[in-house]
Amino acid sequence: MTDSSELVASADPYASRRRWFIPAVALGLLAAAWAALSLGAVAVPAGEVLGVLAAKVGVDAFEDPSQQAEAVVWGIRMPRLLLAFAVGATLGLVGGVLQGLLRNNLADPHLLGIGPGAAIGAAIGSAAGGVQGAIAGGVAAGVITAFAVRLLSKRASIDPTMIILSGVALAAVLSAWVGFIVFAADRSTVPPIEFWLLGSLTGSTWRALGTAFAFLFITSIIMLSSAHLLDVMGLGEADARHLGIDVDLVLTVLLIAAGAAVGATVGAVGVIAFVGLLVPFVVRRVTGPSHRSLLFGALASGALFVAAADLVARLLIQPVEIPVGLVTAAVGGPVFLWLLTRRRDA
Amino acid sequence: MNRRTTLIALGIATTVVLAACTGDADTTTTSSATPAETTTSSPTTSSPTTTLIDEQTFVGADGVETTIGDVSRIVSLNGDLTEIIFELGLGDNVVGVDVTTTYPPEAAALNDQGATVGFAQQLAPEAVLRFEPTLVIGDQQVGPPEVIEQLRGAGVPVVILETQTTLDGVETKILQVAEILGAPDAGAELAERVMGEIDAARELAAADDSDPRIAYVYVRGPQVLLLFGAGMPTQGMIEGAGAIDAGAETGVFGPVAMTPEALLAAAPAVIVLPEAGLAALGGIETFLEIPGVAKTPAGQNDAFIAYDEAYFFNLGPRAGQALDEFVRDLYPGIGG
Repeated sequence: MTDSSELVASADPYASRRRWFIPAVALGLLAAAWAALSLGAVAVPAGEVLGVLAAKVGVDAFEDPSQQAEAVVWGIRMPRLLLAFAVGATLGLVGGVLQGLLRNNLADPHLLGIGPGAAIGAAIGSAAGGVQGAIAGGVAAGVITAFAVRLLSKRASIDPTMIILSGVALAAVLSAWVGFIVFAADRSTVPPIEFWLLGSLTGSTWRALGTAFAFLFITSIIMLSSAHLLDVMGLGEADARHLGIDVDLVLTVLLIAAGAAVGATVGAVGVIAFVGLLVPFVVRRVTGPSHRSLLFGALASGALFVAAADLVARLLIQPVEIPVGLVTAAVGGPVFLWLLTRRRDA
Repeated sequence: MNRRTTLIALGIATTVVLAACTGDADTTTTSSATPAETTTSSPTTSSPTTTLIDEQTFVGADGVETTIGDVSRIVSLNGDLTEIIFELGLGDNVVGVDVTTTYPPEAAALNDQGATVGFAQQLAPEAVLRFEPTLVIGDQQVGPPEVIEQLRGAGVPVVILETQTTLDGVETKILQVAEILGAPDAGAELAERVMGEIDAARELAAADDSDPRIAYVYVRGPQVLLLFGAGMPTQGMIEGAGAIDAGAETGVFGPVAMTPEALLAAAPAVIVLPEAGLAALGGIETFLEIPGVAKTPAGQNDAFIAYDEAYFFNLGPRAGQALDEFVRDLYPGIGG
């Protein structure tokens, strides 16, 4: 008995890390949720927060919430929290998938240009149909940009840093186009340039959440179910083909899913960079290289990261809010730098 | 891996981080009027006596019909609207204002005490809701629209008024605010007085035959330098003074970045500036060092006039007074 369990442990050195990782992230998510629902410029006592939640599930418990408490906790904070979770989970997941697909752990959907590309469609869409138009436009443009990135990465596939460089160049061009659209458009319908460059969850409504979630749910299912294929494709496209995998089909489906997922997040909350870079990087060190645990881990940790970053954005100098992308960049940028320098030393 | 490529990548990574920081700097400058003290403020403590008015509906410029029945706790999202509310005698009911509110002093004090919603173009829902307002009033410049939607979702009446950019619009603005607040008589009286002052100033201006070219340049420290053109309230003031808006006349629409060429093309004989912003820049001497400025007719004749920006272009209760002062500054010796 002792021998075999030791064998298992040495075969999977990440098993013990995974054991504390799941409860740690779960606790973090709970803490973030409680903080997001109970803290803010409007003071709502904890009892009333619980009262609102209890009333929503049909239980008459805790304090009887005031109308203001219900409007704030359920009408404003709850959709914002859920949107932060959904967007963070998606960006973490997309990062994990793209890094596997391009075999490049510097791949981040926004650094690669998919986010800025989606923002072009989303900005045009928002002029036509509010947040729902923005999400639809973002999805369409996100898919197109994902394929453009694939073409670029094929050409530059020898040096992983070149892929990121070409992505950054692409992102710069696409962001410029977003700027042209924003400055040409009606300011009352199209969000300002900061929104498209740094993201914001300020305008989170149930409607925005509902529309985004429809896309995020379907695309996430597709991406999560690709874990085994990504493991095999990690051997290289040629080897994967030899093992009977239709590499082109997998690539096409996953690029569509990733592009649509990123596009939906951009339409709803703008471009929040570095989540897709940072989260899979951290999770990989804990769960190991297997894509199954990586993707699920990135999903949960991404949700935690964005919800926590949004708390900082919302509370740091309240009642004024700062763009959430500033917070993720402040944390993610240094990690990106460190990853780059470490690659040179290796 | 290629060392040079890594260096380029490092450079780009740094730029990305720096770009993020620049964005931050921008955000903090716009909100710098509301530093740390806002976090500790608890604006919902004192509550003035409830002012119930006959329940009425008002259809705003966004087409939304709002029911108003209680004006005891008003949040005003624009400085000009705040001025009108105070002038109508309902200043005690104002519990929160935006950063553009600088007059009257009691209203400006709200800002200093942290009873502010910040920048009305970048509202956060809870920044408004913490005042437990019974009425939120703003014009079409406030946003984002999702936040207005969230406030209405929370059951707060939000009235959006049309943004007025002409002197004639002052009357509409005053009458609308008064109607919303249930004080139509006081509104009619105030509108009559202000429009009378505006007309008197216009008549005074008509006594002068020259029509000088005037440009309004908006400065706020060294970073913000804008030339105002057509569709701005400054156009109404300049034309009301019997002059030509040099920006609008050369095809400038709205506020645009002031480039030396745009300014030289406008060729203003007089440049009007905001007082506080000019002081933040370092005064007229520093302004004259900006390329192009010294070469304009205004620069050569040292013809600059600075007014408090809210006073000059709020198009509120002080519009007639401001126009009168402007006319007398423009045409010395007029009207005795």
